[in-house]
Amino acid sequence: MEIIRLENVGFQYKDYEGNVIEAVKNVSLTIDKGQFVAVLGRNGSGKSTLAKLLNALLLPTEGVVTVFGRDTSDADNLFEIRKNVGMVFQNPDNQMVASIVEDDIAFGPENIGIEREEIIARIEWVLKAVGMEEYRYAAPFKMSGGQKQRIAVAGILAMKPEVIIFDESTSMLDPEGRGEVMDVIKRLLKEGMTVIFITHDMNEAVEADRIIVLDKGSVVMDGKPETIFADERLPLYNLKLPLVTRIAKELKDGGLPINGSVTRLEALTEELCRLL
Amino acid sequence: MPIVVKNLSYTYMKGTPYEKQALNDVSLTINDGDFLGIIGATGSGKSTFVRHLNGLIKLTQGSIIADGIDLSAKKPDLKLLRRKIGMVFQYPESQLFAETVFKDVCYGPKNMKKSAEECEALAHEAIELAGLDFEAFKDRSPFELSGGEKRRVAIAGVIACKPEYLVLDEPSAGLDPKGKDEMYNLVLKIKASTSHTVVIISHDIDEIAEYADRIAVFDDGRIYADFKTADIGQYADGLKERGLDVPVTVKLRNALKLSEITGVRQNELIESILKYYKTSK
Amino acid sequence: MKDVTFGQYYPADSIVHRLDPRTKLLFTFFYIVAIFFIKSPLGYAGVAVYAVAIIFAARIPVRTVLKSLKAVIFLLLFTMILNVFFYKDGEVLIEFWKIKITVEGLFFSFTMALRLILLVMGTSLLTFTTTPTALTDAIEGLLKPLKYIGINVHDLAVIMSIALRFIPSIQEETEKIISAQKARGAEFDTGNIFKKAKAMLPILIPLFISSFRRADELALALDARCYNLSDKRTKMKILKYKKTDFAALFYALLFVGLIVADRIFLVNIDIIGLLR
Repeated sequence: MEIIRLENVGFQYKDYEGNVIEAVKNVSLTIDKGQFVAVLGRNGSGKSTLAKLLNALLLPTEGVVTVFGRDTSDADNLFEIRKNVGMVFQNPDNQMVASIVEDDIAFGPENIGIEREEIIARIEWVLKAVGMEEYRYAAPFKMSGGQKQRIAVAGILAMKPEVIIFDESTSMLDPEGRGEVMDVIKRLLKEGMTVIFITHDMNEAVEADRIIVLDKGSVVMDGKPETIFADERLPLYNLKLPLVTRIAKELKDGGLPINGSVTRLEALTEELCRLL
Repeated sequence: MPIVVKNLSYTYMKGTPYEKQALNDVSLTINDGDFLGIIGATGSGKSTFVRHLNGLIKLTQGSIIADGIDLSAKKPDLKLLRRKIGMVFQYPESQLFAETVFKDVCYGPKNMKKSAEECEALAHEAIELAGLDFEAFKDRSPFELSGGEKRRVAIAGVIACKPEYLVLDEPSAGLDPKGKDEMYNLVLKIKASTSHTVVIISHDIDEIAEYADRIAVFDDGRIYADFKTADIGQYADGLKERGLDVPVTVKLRNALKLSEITGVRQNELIESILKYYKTSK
Repeated sequence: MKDVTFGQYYPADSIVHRLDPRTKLLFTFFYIVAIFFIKSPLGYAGVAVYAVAIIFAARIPVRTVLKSLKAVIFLLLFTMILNVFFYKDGEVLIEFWKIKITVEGLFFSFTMALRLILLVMGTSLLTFTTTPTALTDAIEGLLKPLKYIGINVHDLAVIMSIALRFIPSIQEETEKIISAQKARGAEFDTGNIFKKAKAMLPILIPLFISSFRRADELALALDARCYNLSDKRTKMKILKYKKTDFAALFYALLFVGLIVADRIFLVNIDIIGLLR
């Protein structure tokens, strides 16, 4: 089922010197329910702008964005769209509004008018969903980046959205924190959540059902990870293959008769054990 | 001369309910010409450790002799120390402040009481070394540059004082894959020209294994291990036990269980596998 | 400044910690009123005993409370010296040039200092035993009637909550920038006042820029969590007075009453006369 549709969408703005910047150019795509979509691209390729167009934080200057059939440009739709399309940002510190975890989680549900008893029940449920039950009364400030980001996810989950967008939400985390957030995402996907994941970590993108590569505001690649990683153009967009795939490819180029596009270490090990 | 740290301990907010021991009896010698990678989980004491090296945190317990400067002395020459040991913090672009790139890069040399001519020469050299064209960038505002360029300007501002030792905390954080490669190439270039000893803190073990010659592993305020990068294979289990990652190359090598296959760096490993395949066939 | 404890929360489980934050706010208000009504030495003794009793009830080490005085030590000395020098009446103790120190002056400056000490001790007790969040809730709760004159108390509370939430983040950021500039050879404690002020620019400018960026990101995060999109907002936390709260308020009122009565009815003991 299609839940997000972009038709010839463009977004322009003027920088402080008055030059027109085209952050997103003529993008058309649809996203289906339950998909795990990774959006890749170099720094400044328009990934974040695209993400903000999906929950009406930005409105397209050209074309139409529809979410659940609702046009994001219509102010009457804002409430339904933002309630259903949650967003976790890059810097875990800059998206928390309260000094206590449960207060922060309650912020979204309070804003959309959920009853008190229901909010309290949801807090328990979302903290469990992100594996942070024992932190209900803790102060986010003292937590690790991974824990803070999980609290941010909990705050979004408490509004019961259909889609969650992660806008480079793992880029400031250590490997442990990244792992924690990825685990939460996998759990959400199992329960039918639609996830749009913006990153430049190829090892994370491997997990997605679909990868969209942006460059200079336009979609330059769109497909399954295997198709994207087999594409020779990747370096043109400042991207690199996941390390495992890179090793496999070089071994293949060096004369080893193996599959050069494996993405998992186990698969590569298996291939090599067969040969050596 | 080396930086010799002995029995260093440090406690934050001593005597309050928030008291936390960040370092516990840490001893480490950083030799001339080292490319040392420091790894460890968040909160393991890495940052507290490097902040001691140039006196940003006052020594309270233990001893540090950095390039002949004794930090346990009553009044160590911090100015000289900071000229010798440059420090690039995480997201260093957030320390930019001047209206032009040139002025920002001159800030360090000016603080070190260099003359205007010297400042200009040092800034010129540093900006070029950081991979930016001096004439094209010197009069631009640092705030209108791209993220990658800003970071280069910030690094230029640190290497402008020609430190003999350069400490970098997560220099590639937030950059795209190509940007990360370029950053490490820049570090290698700086190591070859001005700062012959480099210390890098990173969470990315694959990066560290690829570039560093020696690795120190921090765990809960202590040093768990300190070894040559080539020997990391022996520490794979210890790293895992401490919740740390093992380089993909080492994982692959250990899984293959073939003594003929060696190498931690990607090229070394690939070559070794190819050689083994050809000879065994 | 690290060991100054004024304004910090001191976690402990005590009857004072458990009181409703509105009670504590009102209690503190009455306490301050009482201090301004003290006249007799008996009054001072009464307030001091009262304050110490609460410190014990709150299970806070006396040392920690005394440390909170460090923050105002200069103010304290300044008022004392000013009062000693400018109090002209009474029996002269020492006289030189245009300065006259009198017995009454010494006594007066001593009582002023005592008043200030009691004031700081009492108010820091409020912050020691009440989390910033609870304090925000209390202010929102007590100011609620203002909405009838068109003041949006909720917005005010959100602003306060965010401000409190960001104090530690900005503190951390400031320390990081100071460290970074120090590492580039900056010195902040040399030269005259103009030089010092100029030396602060490399800290203040990056701090301003990062704070603006934070504010920008935070605004987006608030929008993404449906802030102010609907007027059917709910509230998770509802403050409720308990028996102990009524008891505490009763004691506070009784206490103010006694101090006022002391001022009005009791004959002031002439300490200076007795000393003579």
